[in-house]
Amino acid sequence: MSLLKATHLTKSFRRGGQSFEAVSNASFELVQGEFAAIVGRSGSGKTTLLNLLAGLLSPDRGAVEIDSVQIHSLSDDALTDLRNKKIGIVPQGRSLLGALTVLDNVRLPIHLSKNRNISRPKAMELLEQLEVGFLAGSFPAALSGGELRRVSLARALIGAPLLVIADEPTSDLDSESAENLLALLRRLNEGGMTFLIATHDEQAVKSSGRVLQMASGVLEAVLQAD
Amino acid sequence: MSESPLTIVGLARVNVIGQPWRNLGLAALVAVFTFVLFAGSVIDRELTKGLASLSERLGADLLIVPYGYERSAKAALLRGEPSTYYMSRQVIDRVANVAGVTAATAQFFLSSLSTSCCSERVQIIGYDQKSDFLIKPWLAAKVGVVGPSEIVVGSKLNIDVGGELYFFGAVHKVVAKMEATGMGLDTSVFMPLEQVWQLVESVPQLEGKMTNPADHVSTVALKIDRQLNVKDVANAIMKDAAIEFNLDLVLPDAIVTETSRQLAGWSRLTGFLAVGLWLLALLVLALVFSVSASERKKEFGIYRLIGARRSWLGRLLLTEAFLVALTGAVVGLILGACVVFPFETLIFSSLGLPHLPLSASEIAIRALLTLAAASAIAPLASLRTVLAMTRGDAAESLRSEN
Ligand SMILES: Nc1ncnc2c1ncn2[C@@H]1O[C@H](COP(=O)(O)OP(=O)(O)OP(=O)(O)O)[C@@H](O)[C@H]1O
Ligand SMILES: [Mg+2]
Repeated sequence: MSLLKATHLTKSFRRGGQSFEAVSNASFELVQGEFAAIVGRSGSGKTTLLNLLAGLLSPDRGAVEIDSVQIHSLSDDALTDLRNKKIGIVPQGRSLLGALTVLDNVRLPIHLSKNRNISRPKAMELLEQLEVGFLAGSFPAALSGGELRRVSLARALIGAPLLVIADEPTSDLDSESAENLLALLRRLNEGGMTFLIATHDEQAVKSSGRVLQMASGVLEAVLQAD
Repeated sequence: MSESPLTIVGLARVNVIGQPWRNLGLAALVAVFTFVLFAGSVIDRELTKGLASLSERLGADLLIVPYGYERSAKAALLRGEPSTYYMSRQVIDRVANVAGVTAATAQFFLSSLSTSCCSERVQIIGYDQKSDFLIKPWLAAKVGVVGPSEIVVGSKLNIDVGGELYFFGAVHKVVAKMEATGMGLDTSVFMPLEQVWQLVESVPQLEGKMTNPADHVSTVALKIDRQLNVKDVANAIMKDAAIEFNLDLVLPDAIVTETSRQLAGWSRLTGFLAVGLWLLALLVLALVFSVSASERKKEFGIYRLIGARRSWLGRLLLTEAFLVALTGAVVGLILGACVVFPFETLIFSSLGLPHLPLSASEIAIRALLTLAAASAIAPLASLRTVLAMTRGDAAESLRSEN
């Protein structure tokens, strides 16, 4: 069954008075339980595509269907709730709230929906699995780039989402840490969680069952991994 | 590790504390406004009450005093500044017979004295029990004939009915206590005219001692026929007796009018100041919130990313604004109470206006209204920010590099 379906997604931006398509007529589908990677040169439109899929950015044309719901026709509140409950997002760059501890950052998504009691043990468990449990009481400002990535991933996973969209989850990580992180993702994937990651990382690509290639906004090739 | 409640209020608290100096500054501004509005409105109300009771129960339409003592008479009336001046007792009969005068009663002011009861000096006033209409309106219970060594005391004297006051070598028993007048009467001791005269005779070392005190009075208060114009009667008295007895006339109504004019000025000043400070606080808070919102764009993007609705974010911002405004308001109220209530006496005596204290509910109403006005600053100041924040894609906010 198709969990994610993008059809003719197009988004243009303006640069120097000229409009250009950062994502151009992209169509593809992910079935539940897939693990897919998007690769492509810097500036090829990976982040833009992921933002469109996560409902963080509205497309100029085209549609995104998640779990049989056209997300861009939803009201803003409904889309926000869907994101909270069904999609775990690891955005590119730093994305933790500086005023909260690592643990509270991870717990917060659950507190936005109503399911509160499980947040603490679940958050601790995820942080331990990602080898950053010892940082639970620290504030984000004190963390290294790789530690921030892992906390951000823990936050994406806390709500047990159907779909995880991660933008370069292994950036800033040494190969051993990256391998541990990918192993966790594979384990979750075996449990039925669907993954879509943008990456430059060979190891991450190897973990993926499917690789989508982007170039200048165009989803060029869909390579099936062996 | 401390547990942060991940509720809107908990998060708002964390965010507000995270910017201590900025938010303390904003709260201080709200506190200044609250202080001015609360203290100003309490003082204003006390003055209004004092004046209302003054004009309601001020018994005399006309006061006659010796020439040159008009000002002292006013000061004595409003502030209880001790005054001693005398004129011939014959004035009473003379003015009582002027057409239009319906009642006349005399008082004798004895130089003030310090007693054990009071921090301030009190004035002894002799009054005519039979004709009196000045003291009576302020006595709650009917008082029988005040005998020798008996006195009536003003409300501010720290002594109750049945108590005794020792002065001029004799013990005086308190038989009645007046209600608060907000005027000079509050710090006076009253006894029948005959006794004051006797006191003056018998105390040798009395300051300003005179011969035949019983031939003197300090003031004569008149009631005038309601049909007539008080000024006309005053003119008649001037013609008839003023030159001969060297008199001055005081129109208490004019004092009330003048006082209420002063009061209106004071109210207007407080009002302008409060409105000005309210607007200033609103403007500064709105500016600071708006500037900080653009600094916090990325933060808002993160909240949206993890599934916070726009309305949730709006409530978060509003709660932060409320926390700041309420903190300021509470501090301002406490400061206001700490300044107004302990220093009331000082404030009013320097203003030279009559006043009456407020009841707890009157104070509570003013505190609540002030709190409401201060709290209203929060939503108004954050309105622009909330609106600005609810536009645009979350991805745009996330891209911002703050
Ligand atoms: N809001 C925007 N306004 C203008 N141009 C934008 C905007 N967002 C992205 N772009 C441009 O669109 C193109 C695609 O950007 P995008 O961030 O999707 O690239 P990417 O593939 O994720 O790159 P990287 O691997 O470096 O993260 C880039 O050329 C970028 O400059
Ligand atoms: Mg990118």
